[in-house]
Amino acid sequence: MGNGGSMRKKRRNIPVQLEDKAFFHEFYESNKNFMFYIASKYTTDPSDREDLVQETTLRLMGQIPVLRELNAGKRAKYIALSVRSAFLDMKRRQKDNLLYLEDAALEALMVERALADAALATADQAVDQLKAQLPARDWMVLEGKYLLELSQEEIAEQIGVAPDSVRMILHRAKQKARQILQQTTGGDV
Amino acid sequence: MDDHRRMQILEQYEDAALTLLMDESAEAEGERLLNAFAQAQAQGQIPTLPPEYDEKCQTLIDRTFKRQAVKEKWTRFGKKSLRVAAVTIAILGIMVTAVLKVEAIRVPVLNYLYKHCDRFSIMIYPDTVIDSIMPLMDPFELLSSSIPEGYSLFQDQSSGESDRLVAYINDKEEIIVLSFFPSSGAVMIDTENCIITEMNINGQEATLLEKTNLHHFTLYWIDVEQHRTYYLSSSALTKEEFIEMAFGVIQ
Repeated sequence: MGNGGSMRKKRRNIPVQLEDKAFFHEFYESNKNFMFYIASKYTTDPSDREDLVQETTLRLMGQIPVLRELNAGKRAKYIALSVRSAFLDMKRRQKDNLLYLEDAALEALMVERALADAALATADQAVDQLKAQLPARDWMVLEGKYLLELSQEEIAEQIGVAPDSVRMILHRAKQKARQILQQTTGGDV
Repeated sequence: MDDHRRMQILEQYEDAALTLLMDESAEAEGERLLNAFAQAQAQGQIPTLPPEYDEKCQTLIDRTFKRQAVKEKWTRFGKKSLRVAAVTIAILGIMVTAVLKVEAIRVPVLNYLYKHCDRFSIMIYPDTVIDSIMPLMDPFELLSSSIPEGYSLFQDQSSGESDRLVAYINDKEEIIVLSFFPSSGAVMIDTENCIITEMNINGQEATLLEKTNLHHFTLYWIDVEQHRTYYLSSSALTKEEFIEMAFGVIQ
């Protein structure tokens, strides 16, 4: 586990605007410890943690227009999702086998659950029930579609399936979500 | 409303509901995460980002924006260069069209070019020799008796009446050439690196060209009656020998 911080680093062309430099520097300074905190929950290996933090920074740099629009709560959630996504990619590269993605996705969700359990509030029980009862893959598809507004191809890449399968998975996930939410709330979605 | 339309609207409603639900959930969950982080920080349970990680991330951020700055700079430079090139090509196109089409511009431009090409050419006008028109004897026949000793005929080729070239060669493979080509008007001669001397040889106006960068003489004269321009050349003879030979050829 971990390969000495030599996760394949490809030079990527992150689209940024020069006028966003000051904003992102401030964003990074404000959230770097939070990012590290989340990354630490996914892995204890120092080199993997370093890679996670750097990878997450890169991903967030490519989403500055989105970050600008988010409030503190949503921004924290977005950072957590970015760390998770970077973690899944790292796992995929390390294991180099998409069949392992389900385990990695479950691992990622368990980390999130552990983080959530540490909180005090108990809001959104319906969604919590949804997350608990849906398979990890289905939940990630719903998040990708409704929270992150990713394309079918981007969702497919994240969960490690063919793009054509995403539509089917989404349809089934929505059906299950409807049932679970109806049970939880006692009514329609 | 038919079932298909109903299903469509239901799907849109579910999509909107799930979007709102998950959006609210995301905000709440994010705040829970921040609270958990703050609590853990207060209890000293949070490791801070190691300085080396921080430095690498800062470098990454700076490098990414710097790369973008360079990219934008080159894009601006490229666009500016394209604009300049387009304007230059347009102006050149207009100028060339004007030069070719408008006589009032074409004539002075060509005269200017001629003037500057004058360094490398002279024009021999048959009119200038009009006073000295006289029937010339066949230079080729005269050459055989005027050629210096030691030379023998090497080549004699002609294309009927339109041109002829005769070459003589000696033991040292030095060549003397006599040739003519048809001409009914002025003749342009390349005079680059030449000393030009106008001469009168037996009443015939001729132009002697002496190359300055190598030992070579050429003599041009126009036979107006025959509509021919002759030239006699040698790179072996001295100037005096060459001129003496020319006096034997032009009669």
